[in-house]
Amino acid sequence: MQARNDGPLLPKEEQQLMEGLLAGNDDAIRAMYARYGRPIYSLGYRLLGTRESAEELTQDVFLTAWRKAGRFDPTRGRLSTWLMTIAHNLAVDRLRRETGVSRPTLVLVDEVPDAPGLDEEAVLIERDAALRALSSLTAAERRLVVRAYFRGMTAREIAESDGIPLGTVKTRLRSAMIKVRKANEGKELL
Amino acid sequence: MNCVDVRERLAEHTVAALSARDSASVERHLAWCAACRKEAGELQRASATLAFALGPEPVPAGLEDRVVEAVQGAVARRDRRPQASPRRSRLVLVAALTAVLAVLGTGWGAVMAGRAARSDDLALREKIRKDSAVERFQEMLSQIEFGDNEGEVLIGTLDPVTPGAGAGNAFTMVSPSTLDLAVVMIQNLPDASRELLPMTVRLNDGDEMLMVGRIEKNDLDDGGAGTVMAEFHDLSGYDTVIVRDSLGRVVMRGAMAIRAVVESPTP
Repeated sequence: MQARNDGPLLPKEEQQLMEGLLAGNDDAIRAMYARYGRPIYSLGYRLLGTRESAEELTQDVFLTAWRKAGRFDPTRGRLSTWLMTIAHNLAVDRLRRETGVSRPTLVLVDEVPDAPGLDEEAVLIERDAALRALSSLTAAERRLVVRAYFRGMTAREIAESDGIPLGTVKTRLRSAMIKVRKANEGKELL
Repeated sequence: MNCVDVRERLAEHTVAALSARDSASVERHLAWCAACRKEAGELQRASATLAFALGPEPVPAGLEDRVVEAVQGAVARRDRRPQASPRRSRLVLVAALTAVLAVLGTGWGAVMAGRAARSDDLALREKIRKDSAVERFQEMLSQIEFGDNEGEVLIGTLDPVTPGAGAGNAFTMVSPSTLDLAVVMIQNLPDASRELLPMTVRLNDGDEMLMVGRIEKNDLDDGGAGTVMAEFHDLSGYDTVIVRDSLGRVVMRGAMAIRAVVESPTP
């Protein structure tokens, strides 16, 4: 199997990659890893706090994708977002199972120098979309999204930790996610 | 949890900010409600983009090879696993589902009556009853060990056209590798309705009708319950059950509202 390593994949190419993954095809797994391994690992490291946990998470994400390959529908969403949803769910589950996890300070990409040449074009497109979505939020909304999505905190935990009413947390999260969705409109079609 | 409750929680669900209990309730609802599932999918895809906002980390050397080995190891274990007899494993699944439906048939009425009685609005009462029944179905389904079957199971409740004229449940199994199966159970059929037997049970895909079977007097037990079952080549799209009495009148009707994907066991 030959898979392109540059630019966003067409739905048909994403489907072929998933079929290759299901069959255990070496090229297909490596092509998927080349595109998505690093963002998955980075998410794992930022949420779970250790390189060992991030490595385990990365392997678990690919295994879960293999098990659920039949459920991936390229006409309903990009492979990148499907994989990152799996990664986030697994990371949050693990975070909540384990106590005493020490996590490094969260660093979003616009707060660190870029690493040119290290990322695929498709990932850079996703990154632009993410930063555009975050920049559409108010400071309060952004703080909530970061604490929920990237720290794995529940709305109740955020309310108690920040001393604000639970209803306010819920309302702000809703308005934030509406903005995030709006900022992403059309991106799935790229 | 109804659609309004779920929509209010979808944003929290999307960023994993719901409690485990609320999250499980939302998941159960999404398993059968296509409209909420579509909304959840759009939010989920948007939120997944956020993950790319994180600063990139250097990836350890050798992780790529370990990922490849992990996936190929899983593929090899799957290929080595002896295949269970499709017929036997299907019988196990049918037995499990039939047991679930039987329990629900006798067990959920009281619970629903309590919740529905609190509403004066007939339409709302009916909606509460249906939502609760479907939710309970989903809970029960999540506890079933499906074995080696693959495909999907669709489940629905049958409602009487005239109140008090019995009720029922149905499920279909749509499989890519074996014949499809339909099972329809009629329950609590009152004595008066027994005079209108035999009843015929059909599936409809919006265009064609398929005969599942006929329920005769001898098929009913003392509680007014009877089951029909039949195999078909392809039940895809057959999502409505219609039961007619001996005079040809529709006495019960139901839609297959819950869809559960049945996968091979985790390697």
